Amino acid sequence: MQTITVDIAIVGAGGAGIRAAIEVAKNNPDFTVALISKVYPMRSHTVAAEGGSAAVRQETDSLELHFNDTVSGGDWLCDQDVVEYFVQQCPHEMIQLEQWGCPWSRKPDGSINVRNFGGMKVARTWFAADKTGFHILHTLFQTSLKYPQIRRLDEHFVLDILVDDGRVAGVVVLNMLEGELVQVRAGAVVFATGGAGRVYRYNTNASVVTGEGMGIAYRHGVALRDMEFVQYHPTGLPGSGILITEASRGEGGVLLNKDGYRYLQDYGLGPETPLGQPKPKFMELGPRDKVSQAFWHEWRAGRMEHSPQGDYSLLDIRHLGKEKILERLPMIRELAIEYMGIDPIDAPIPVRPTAHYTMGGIATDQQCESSIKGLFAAGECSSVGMHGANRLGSNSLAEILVFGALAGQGAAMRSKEGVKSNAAALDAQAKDVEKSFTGLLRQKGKEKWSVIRDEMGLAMEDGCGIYRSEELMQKTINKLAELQDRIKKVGIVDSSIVFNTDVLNLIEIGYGLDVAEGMAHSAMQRKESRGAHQRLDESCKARDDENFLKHSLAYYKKGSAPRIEYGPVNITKLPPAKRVYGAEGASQDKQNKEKGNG
Amino acid sequence: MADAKKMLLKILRYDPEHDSAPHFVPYGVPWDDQTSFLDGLQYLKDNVCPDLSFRSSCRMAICGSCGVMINGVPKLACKTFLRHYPDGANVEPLANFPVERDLVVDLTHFLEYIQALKPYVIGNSRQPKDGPNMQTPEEMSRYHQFALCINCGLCYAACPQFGLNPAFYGPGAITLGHRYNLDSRDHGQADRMRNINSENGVWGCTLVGYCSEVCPKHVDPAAALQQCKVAGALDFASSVLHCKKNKEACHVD
Amino acid sequence: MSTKRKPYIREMDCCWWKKNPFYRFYMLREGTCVFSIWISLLLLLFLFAPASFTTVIKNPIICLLNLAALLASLLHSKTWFELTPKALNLPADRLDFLVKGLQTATIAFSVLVLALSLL
Repeated sequence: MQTITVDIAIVGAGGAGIRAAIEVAKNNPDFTVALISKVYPMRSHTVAAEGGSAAVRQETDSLELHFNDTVSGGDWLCDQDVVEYFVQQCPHEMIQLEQWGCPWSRKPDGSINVRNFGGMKVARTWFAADKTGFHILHTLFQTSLKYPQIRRLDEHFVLDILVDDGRVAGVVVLNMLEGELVQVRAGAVVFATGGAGRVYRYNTNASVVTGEGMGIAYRHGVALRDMEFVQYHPTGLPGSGILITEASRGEGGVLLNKDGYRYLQDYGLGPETPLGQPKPKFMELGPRDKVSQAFWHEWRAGRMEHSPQGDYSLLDIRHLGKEKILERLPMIRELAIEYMGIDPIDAPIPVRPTAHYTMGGIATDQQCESSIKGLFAAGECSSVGMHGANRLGSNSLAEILVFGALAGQGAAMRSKEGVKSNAAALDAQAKDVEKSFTGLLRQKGKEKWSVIRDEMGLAMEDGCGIYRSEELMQKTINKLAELQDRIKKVGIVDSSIVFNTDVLNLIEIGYGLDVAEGMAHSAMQRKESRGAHQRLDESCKARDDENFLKHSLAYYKKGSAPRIEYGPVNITKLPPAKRVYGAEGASQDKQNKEKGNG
Repeated sequence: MADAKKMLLKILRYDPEHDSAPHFVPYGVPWDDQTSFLDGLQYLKDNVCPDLSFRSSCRMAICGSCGVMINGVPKLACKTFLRHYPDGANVEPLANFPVERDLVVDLTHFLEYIQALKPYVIGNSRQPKDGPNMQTPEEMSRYHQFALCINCGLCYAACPQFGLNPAFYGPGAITLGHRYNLDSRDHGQADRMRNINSENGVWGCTLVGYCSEVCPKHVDPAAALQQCKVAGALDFASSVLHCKKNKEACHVD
Repeated sequence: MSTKRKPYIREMDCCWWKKNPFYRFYMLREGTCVFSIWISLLLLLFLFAPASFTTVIKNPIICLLNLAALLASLLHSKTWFELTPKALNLPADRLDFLVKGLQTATIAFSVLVLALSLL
């Protein structure tokens, strides 16, 4: 097995991973960084983000307002010290990206333009038409090419981390083309491996978003925090799940049921706002959890359109006019034409909620470091504590930048401590990884990983969807346990070692199953409704701050259900209050203001 | 989809450990109006041949992973639909790249060329504390189209010059370099032009133009390359004039 | 450890351009240069042997060749102007105007030359 030694190993080359790599390289010219990814960096899922990235920009806006929106949007499960740091850093990161060449959309005078987004009180979403993630990722990737000390290991699949004496010492990766294992020794490791949306059948995520980063940390005893909170995006295309950006509502698009009625007004987001005049935190600019939940109720009431790909609502942007659609939303137009045969200039787009984002992830402290010293996590794979029970749209692109940079800084500091690891112990660990990998390659059996993947996806949708109940969650938990047995009987057909994706799929789904169990058990134990975790059982329908204003922590237990513990939520300035939008939200804001003045 | 109609796809398979050369294998794929070639490939991997290797990620034509040749034309598998090929189709790995395994090709050259042409802002010392650069929509429109490249490599599969000379930097990489040359925030054109004007640079292009025809994002790389030629010619002309004026300062690179 | 990779390189044969209509048209466009050489040779003949020139161009085969050369140069100038916009970084509406302008100018110039030579 080849061994290479670097100062810092970064796993995942999406937005968070590359941002971390640049941060290290820029500040430490003598450091070497291994930037490891199972795909070429520009294939990472950051590329598919559409709407934009939040940072306070306008004079009518303030860091405090961004903070308040984020904390209330997260149903008070956010760590407020983390959110405070986040909102402070966002403008810096957006400007930094601008200076690296990101083509942010501009006003006629050449200054930065911003747009409205769901759950945000003031327009503060920086955007590059509706390809913001694409432009951010490519700008970061291209900027990273400036630094020769960033050594990219493209198409290298991480199999495990190396840990010596409670401290991370590197990773073992598979060179996918060569089919050979490589031991990458490093003074610190940053995980930026993305979410786990693919454990759901119907989702907006790229096929690479399988959750093995979370799974690896989890199996090493790091807690997965707040895993029950999985965001359903209200607008995905039926069938494929392809994302139709929230910016289409930010620009003024409306959601209709089959009677052409703007149903959101019946679910605490009204009164109806005039067509073409979107109002922050009203109607279609409500937060994603509420908008998806409203769909669910309407669907249950039989007021959605039917199709073989599932029932759907209608997203109407026709009134924006051709020119604005072409300028602000060119990609969603293209997607609707290509994949649905519908031109949104002429007809409404069929949409339905689809699994989108894991609010939870690898538990880290405020500096992005996990319970294993030197193992950092940033971006969707992590839970630094900022999203709480529901993430606001455009906070995740900002997150990968802010916390990607922070994780890079932290990792550089850890690496500088220069702690020597026991080389023989690491070699032995790497040998074990190789042994189990070779075992998988030769695994025989009648099961197929594709069947396991599909059954897992369906089970997660049934038990851990928009609304949950004890009975359905129990069924999901039982199913996942059954799949854990069956996955050991999956036979590997591919006998070649060069780009063997048969075995890699099996590994991904194996980690995915662990993560799914973390989600389902965390959900089962949270006997309340909060943010994206909504329960239908009688005693659990309301938020219960007394018992559940705390983070869940799922710990891996080999061969059995995870252990669920709880940790405190850090509340600094904004005490828990009723989470309201629409007219009720406006009157709450008014009262708070009067209180503040009086 | 079990009793749905099936379409015949002939896929070029190649296993370097067992095959001496790639060969076509026919498969039946169930399909409906929404089935893309990527869906078809995934169906085969899930149900028929788990050892079929291909790249894919976003399945929405923005990540650039799934470029293949469909009936000899470079396409993204995820945004090409079976309904347009009622008589079936041949699926092959992207042309002009070495085949590593089934539909997976070696893109190393392409990635190296992107890096060689320095696609990043050069010579702008502005810091975040100074605030964003100003850039009007008109200034942005000069380069914006060229910034839409997803690095899928279809243009390389379409370019006979790259096929004949793999050292040619090729349409995608030169377009990215040109994108930064046109950006009002950048001052690195002279630096980039050294490689763009070099032996394997833009002058290898004979304006076949097929790169622009197959580009799934309408980037029009052929246009970028022609504009580079104009810039390169102007550079050359001005350096000749410059040489005539200051003979001693002039040296041959 | 030896690698298991064995990259397969698909060699391009000399007939690569025959497989694709786009390439075939490209070869046709580039092929028009053969006729430019022909016309140049003809002009040289006129320069150095004006007497035999007049006999030569009356030959029916030469007439056919010249007709083909005319078609080739028409094709060449059409594609030339259509490709002009690629070399210019201008807004689409202005490019359209430019191409039409160039085509009109060429036709006008050709008519003028023809008229002068016939008068």
